[in-house]
Amino acid sequence: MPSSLITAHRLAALLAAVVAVAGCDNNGRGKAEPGPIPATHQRSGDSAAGYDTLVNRSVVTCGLPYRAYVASTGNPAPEYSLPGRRGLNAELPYGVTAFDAPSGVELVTSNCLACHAAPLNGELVIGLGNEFLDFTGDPVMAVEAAGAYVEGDAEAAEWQRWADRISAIAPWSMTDTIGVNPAQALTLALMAHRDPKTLAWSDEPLMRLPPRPPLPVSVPPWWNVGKKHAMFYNGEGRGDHVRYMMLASTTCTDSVAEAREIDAWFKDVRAYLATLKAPAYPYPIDTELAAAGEELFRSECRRCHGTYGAKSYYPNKLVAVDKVGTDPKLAEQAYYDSDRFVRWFNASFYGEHSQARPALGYVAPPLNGVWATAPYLHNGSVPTLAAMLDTGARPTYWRFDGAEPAYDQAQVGWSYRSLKQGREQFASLDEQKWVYDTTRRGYGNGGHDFGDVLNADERLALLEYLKTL
Amino acid sequence: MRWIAPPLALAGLAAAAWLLWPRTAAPPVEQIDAASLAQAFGTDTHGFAKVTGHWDYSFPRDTGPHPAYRGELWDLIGQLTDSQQRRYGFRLGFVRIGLTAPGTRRESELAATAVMTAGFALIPCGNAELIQDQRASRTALGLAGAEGDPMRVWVEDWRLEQDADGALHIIARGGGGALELTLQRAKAPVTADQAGLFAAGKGPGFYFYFEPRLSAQGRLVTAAGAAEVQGSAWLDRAWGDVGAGLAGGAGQLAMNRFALQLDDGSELMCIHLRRRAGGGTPIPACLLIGADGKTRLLQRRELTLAPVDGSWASPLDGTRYPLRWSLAAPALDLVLDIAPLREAQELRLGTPLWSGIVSLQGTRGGRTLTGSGRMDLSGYGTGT
Repeated sequence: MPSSLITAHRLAALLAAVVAVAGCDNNGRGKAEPGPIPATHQRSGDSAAGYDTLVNRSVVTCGLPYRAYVASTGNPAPEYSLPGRRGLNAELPYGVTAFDAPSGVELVTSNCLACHAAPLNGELVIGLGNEFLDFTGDPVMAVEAAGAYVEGDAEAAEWQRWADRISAIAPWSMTDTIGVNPAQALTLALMAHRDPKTLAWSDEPLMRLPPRPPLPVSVPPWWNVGKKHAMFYNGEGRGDHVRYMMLASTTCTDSVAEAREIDAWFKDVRAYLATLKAPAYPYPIDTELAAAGEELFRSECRRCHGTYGAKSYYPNKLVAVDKVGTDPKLAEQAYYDSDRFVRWFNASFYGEHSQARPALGYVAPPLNGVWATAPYLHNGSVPTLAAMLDTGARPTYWRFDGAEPAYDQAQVGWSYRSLKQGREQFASLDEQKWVYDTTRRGYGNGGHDFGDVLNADERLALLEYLKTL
Repeated sequence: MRWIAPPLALAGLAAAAWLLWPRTAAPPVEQIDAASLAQAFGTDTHGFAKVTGHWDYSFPRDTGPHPAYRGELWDLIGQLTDSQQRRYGFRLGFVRIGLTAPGTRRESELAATAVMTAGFALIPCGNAELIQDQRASRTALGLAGAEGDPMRVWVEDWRLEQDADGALHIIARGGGGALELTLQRAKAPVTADQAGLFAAGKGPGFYFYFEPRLSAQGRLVTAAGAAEVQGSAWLDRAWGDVGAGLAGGAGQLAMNRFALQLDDGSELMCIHLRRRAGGGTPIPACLLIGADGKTRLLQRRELTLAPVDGSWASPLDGTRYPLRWSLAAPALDLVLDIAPLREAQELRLGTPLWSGIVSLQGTRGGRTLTGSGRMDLSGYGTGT
C-alpha cells in the first residue's frame, strides 16, 4: 500500500475516533464508534494477593450447602492441582469454591476458574477459556433437585436463595451447543432483577429482560487483559475494568456495601490477571516458514492485531461490523436493544468508574497464545486457525468428538468433524447438543475473510507464525 | 459460570421413596407402616448387601426375592371392569424386611429370617364402601415368605406367584372382599437404567424396575356379590435400603408420582418435585413407554404437569390434596386430565399421603384418549 494511502487511512481512523468521542458527548446515548479505543487508568493491586483470592474466594456469594454438595456429587477429588488452595478448597475441583456464609453455613459455589481455566496437555492453564463446558442443560432441574440433600432450616434458607437466583436466570443460561458460553445474556438478566442504586434483588424483573435464547460467546483468554483498553468483544467495557470483571457478583450480592467489599479484593485479582502470559506452543515449529509468515503478518494483519516480539504494539482497534463481516448479532443487540442495561450499569455501583459504551463493531483481539484458544471468532464458530484464514474451508455444521479432542497441529486447533447436516439429523438431545450449526441466530461463521487473498503456501507460512505468538 | 450440577439421580431417589411404602389402601390410622418398621431396624446393614453401582437386571430372576438385601417390595395396583361395566381399583402389596442376612446361622425352626407385611384393597368406583385389609407375619414355619424359581411371595393365604409360563397369579381375601387374578405381561419390564432417571453410577439406595402393563383377568367379590373382571395392572419392584428414611421426597423436596396407562397402548411414569416450603419452580419429568416398548424421557421444558381446580380436604386432619391434575406434552400432541376414581384414598404412614387410583381423559394427536393409573401425592400435610 502506498504510504500516502496509509496516511489517509490513519487520518480517517483518527477522525473517526474524534467523531466518536464528540458524537458521544453530544448525543449522550453512550454509544461508541469503530476505531482505536483509548487507554484508561486501571487501579493497581497486589498480584500475589490477587492469585490467592482468585483460588480461594468466589464473587458468587451464594451456593449449595457443602453437605448437600458432598451428598449430591459424591465429592469428587480435584483432577488438577491448583497451588495455593487452602482448607476445604484444596479438596475441591478447581471450578468450585467453598466459603462460610454469614449464616454460618458452609457453601460451595462456582468460581471464575469454572470458565476461565482449562486443561491443556494434561495441565490446568489459568486464563484459558474452557471451550467444552456444557451449558445446554436445564439448571433448574439441577438446583431444585439438589434440595433433596439439604437438611435443616439454615441450610434450607441458603439453598433456597441460591436456587431462586439460578432459576430466575435459567432461560438465559441455556445455549444450543456445547462449548459456547451464555455469560453475556446471564449478566444482563441478573441486572434486570436488581435496583441499580441499592443492588437489592427483586424476584420480579424491574425492566425488560434480554432476548432469548442467549447469543453464544467463546470465552476469551485472560492473558490479554493487560493489553486491552476495553472489556468485551464489542469493546463496550470502557473505564475501570475491575467492576466488569466482578459482574458475576450480581448473582447474589444484594447490597452496595457487599459489592464494595468484593471490589476491594478484586482489584488485586485484576492485577494478577495482568501478569498472565500465554502458554508457549508445545509442538515443533518450522522457524524458517514462521519467519516468512511473519512478513505476511506484518503486511496483512498488523494494522488490526498489532505486532509481537521484542517491540510489540497492540492498537486496541474496534473494527466496524460491516468491515470485519463476522456475525453481527452480538454487537447489534448490544447497540440497538441494550440501552436499559447500559443505563443500569452506568447508574450502578459497577459503573462508578466505568462507562458501558456499545459499538457496532468488534475489537480485533491480541493474538498471544492464539494457537490455544480454538475455536475462533467471538462466537467460537470457526474450529481452527486454518479455517480462519480460508472462508471456503469453514464448515457449516461441525462437532468435536468429545470434550478432550486431540490437537491438530496442521489445522491449528482442536480436531473436529464436519457434518453434512445440522442438529436435526440426530434424534437424541445428547447428540444434537454437540452440533455447532452456523446457520442459527448468532452462530454465524462468516466474515474476517482477509485470509482469502492468500495462496495455500502463504497460509501455511502465516499459520506457522501464529504458532509462535 | 458453571453451576454445580447435582446428579439427576434425585428424581430417581424421590421416586424411590414411593416404592418403599407398602400400599395398603385408605384411611385407618392403625395401618401397618412398613416404612417405619424398616427404619426402626436402623440403617446399619447388619451383614446385608449395600446398593452400590450397577445392577444387571435379569428376568424372571429379579421377579423373585433378593434376600441379600434388607428390604424388598412387590407393589401391584390396577383397574378392573366387570361385565356390567362397573369399575374397581385394586392394590396388593408385599414388603419383605430382612431380620438376618443370608449365611447367618440360627438353629431354631421358629427363628425367622424376615418379616413380611401385606396390604390389600378393593376400591369400587362411586360410593360403595372400600374393602381393605392388611397382614404381617414372620417368615418362620411357612407363615409368610418370598421365594424365587418359581417366584412365590405370600403372607398367610395371600399370594403373588409366577407360573411356568411367566403369568402372575394373585389371591387375597379380607375386609369383606376377595380377589383372584391372572396377570399376563403385556409389556417388557422397564428397569432403572431404562427409566433414565439416574445419573450413571449414582443410585438412590436401592434397585428397581416396574412392569408398566400387565393384562388382568379374574374374579372379585364385594358386598354386591361376585363378578368376573378384566383390566390392567402395574407392578413396582424394588430392593435395597428400605430404611433410607425417604418420606415422599427427601430433604427440602416433596414428590408426587403418577403411573399412567393410556388406552393407545402407551404408559407414562411421571414425577413432580416441589419444595416442601413452597416457592421455587416445580420440576415435572415423565418417562413415556410407547406401544412398541420404546422409552422417551420428557423433561421439564417439554411438558407441563400441574394441579387444577381446587383441592380435597382430608377428613382425618384437614390436609388439602390437589386431586385433579393436568398434563400436557406438546411434543407428543398429548393433553391429559387426571382425576381420582374416588376422593377418599388417603394413606397415613408416619406422614400422611394420598395414594390411589385415577382415571384419565384426554387427547393425543386429535384422537380421544382414556386410561387409568395410580397417583401418589405427598408432603401436603401441615406437619411435614
